[in-house]
Amino acid sequence: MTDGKFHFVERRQVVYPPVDRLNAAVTNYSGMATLAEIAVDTATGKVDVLSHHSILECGSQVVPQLVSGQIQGGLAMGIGHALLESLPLYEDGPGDGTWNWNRYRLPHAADVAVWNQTAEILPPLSDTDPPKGIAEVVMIAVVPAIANAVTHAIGKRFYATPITAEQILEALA
Amino acid sequence: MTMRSSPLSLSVNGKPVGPINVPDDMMLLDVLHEYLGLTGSRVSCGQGICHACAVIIDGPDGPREIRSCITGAHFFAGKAIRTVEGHAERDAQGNVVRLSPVQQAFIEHFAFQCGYCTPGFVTAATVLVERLKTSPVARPDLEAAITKALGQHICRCTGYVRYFEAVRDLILATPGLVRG
Amino acid sequence: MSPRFRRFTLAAAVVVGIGAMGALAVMAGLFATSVVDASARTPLAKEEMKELVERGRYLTRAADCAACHTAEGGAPFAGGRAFAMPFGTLYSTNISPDPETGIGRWTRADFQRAVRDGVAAGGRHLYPAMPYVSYRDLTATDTDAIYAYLMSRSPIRQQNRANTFPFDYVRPTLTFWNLLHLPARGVAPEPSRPAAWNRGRYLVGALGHCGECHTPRDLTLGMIPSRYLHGARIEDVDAPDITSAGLLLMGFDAGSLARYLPAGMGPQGVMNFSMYDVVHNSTRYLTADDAAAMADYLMGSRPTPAPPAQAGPIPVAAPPGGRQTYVQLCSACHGVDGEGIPHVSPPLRTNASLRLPSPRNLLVVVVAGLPDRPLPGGERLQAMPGFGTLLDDRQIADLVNYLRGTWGGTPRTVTLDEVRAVRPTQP
Repeated sequence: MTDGKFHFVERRQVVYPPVDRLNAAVTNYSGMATLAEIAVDTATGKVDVLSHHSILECGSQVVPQLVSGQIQGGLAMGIGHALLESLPLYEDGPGDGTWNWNRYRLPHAADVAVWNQTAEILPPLSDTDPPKGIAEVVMIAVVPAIANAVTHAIGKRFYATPITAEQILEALA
Repeated sequence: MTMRSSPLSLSVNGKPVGPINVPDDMMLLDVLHEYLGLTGSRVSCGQGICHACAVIIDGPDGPREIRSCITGAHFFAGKAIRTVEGHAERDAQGNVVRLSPVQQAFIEHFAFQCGYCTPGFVTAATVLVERLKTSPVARPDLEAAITKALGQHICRCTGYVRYFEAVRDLILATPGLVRG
Repeated sequence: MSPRFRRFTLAAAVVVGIGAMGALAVMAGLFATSVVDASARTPLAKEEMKELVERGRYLTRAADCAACHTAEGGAPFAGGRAFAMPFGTLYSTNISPDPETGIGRWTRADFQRAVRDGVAAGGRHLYPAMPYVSYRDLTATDTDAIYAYLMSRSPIRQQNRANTFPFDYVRPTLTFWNLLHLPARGVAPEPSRPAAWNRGRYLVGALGHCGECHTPRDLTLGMIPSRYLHGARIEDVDAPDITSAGLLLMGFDAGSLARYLPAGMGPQGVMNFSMYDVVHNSTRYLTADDAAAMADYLMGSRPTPAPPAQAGPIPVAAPPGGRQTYVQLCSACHGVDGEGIPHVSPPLRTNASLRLPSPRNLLVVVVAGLPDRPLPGGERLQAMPGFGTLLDDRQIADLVNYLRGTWGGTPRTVTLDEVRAVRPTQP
């Protein structure tokens, strides 16, 4: 366990990024936060995701079951991105047409703390608070959550994902 | 090396099928798709990892899940299989009258999104529920038993939670499957 | 009592007395030889220790200390791995530098004595499950490097588990065992041989201690020197014959073997069972030169690689069932012609298990399957299902006979009893 002390930064000026529609005309932002609890096996480098909790603010939900299903799916995808899905560049990577899911490792149920995950969705600000897109944001917060958790566990920080067992073993060797 | 074809007869969803002339090295999944029009079982990885192709094989020691993309069609000669198309109760015209308990549970729990992996999950959940009838599981072991039965199936959309909760709630609601 | 009888009793008593004194002398270590010289008593300076760590890391991997000293799910080098022997269970010890529960207080000389003489700090004899018979050939400098590396790791506080009966009662008799099996001197490099050959022999015999698994043992569980590397049964499967004749039979030449050792997979198959841990913990870290040296040594340093053993179809009347089962259940992954799928499943056409004199390893894999395993270089062969529930003994025998007859060139016929022998016993 390394630096478990949190430094709260006094925010003196909060600046929302300016509206920039790009091609997607997005003007409302959904907020997502994720807490991840992991265990690192220092002999094998394997990371077990023990549990995670997420908090989403998305305005009004249109189909709550789909929102919750999307959170669960996005979290799984983020866990895959953080720990499992390795895509080497160049000739030996998946672009060569010989890759399948034995090498491109997708998260299975046991990888995502399927029985130990929770999520809360913050209530809309008002009856007229519009619904906001959430499909992509749900997979984002879990990635740095897991990366930070690995750092907390073993004291070394990684700057690229996925954080594989090999990399952890190398860092601990 | 061109493969010979041989006649194949089997039972699919309770009905006898064949004899149809099938190449000796053709996998069951291709027969289901190309010869029988049963496209519910999916082609995904095609090499036995994702289980989207899984169907039920009924044998003397009960139902088992089997991956149709890596198992030759002729292996099933004289055997009985169930695909996802066979789980619901249908009327004489073939319209669905009632979904199976597993299918109903998946709908009520909003368990699938794109639906591509769903037939495989229906297979695995149905096998689990049926096998629990003859060897019930202790309540504390239920989640692990579900993870063991369904855990090899890959899904990219749902993150598995609603599938697993649907199966757990169905098992808890069905008498005789959980002991203690 | 007659005079003759008295003389006889006296003579017997003298013989027994000498024998008892001799035995006590052996147990007191009077006949034991140490290969550790006096310079080891001088502790290494801090700077020397630091300089040795990098090399020690490489050597610890080559010597694969983790294989025994890291338990399944345990902390690195903290011990606790169980070794079930016919007469009890041994547990490996904590070799992390914890002062109370590990080797934190061991001196340089203590470590040398343990690894190369088989005597732990405090004079306790180690069981030869610790391969000190092989490590005896390690150089003093290499042993110092491993010591420096282990001492640089984090100390893990974990008490050693007590070995079960009758092990600790047997410990004093290890001096007798050493008289039989521990050479007085370590093996030195042969000046008449090229450096690479000596390096290969050192890597195979000392660091890699390959002989400890691949050599059959006699009733006292000592390696039989005349059968060195001829193969042995280890935990239900066969560690194959890896003499040059055995390797040729499996289809290796020096080049392919040099690639196979660090990769864990090749046309000859995949390292499974205990060898998976070997590639995962040890041989994947070998430098290309070291892997080549090991391969050259094992193959007999032939200047030109011998052609791999050709194994074509032989006229064994394989029942059609074997071929049918193969096409229906195996060909989707292993190919209709046994060619495999690159990066997914190994080819069977060139697989060594089909060529071994005993079908046992192949039977175990067909019945029980194999887990999916990551291999070096981002490879990951997917899990192989076991076919023990789907096929009966006759079908499995026919299938394995088909495989071995068609691609292995082995005429041996697998019997139903051999199939039954690898099925898991019912609880």
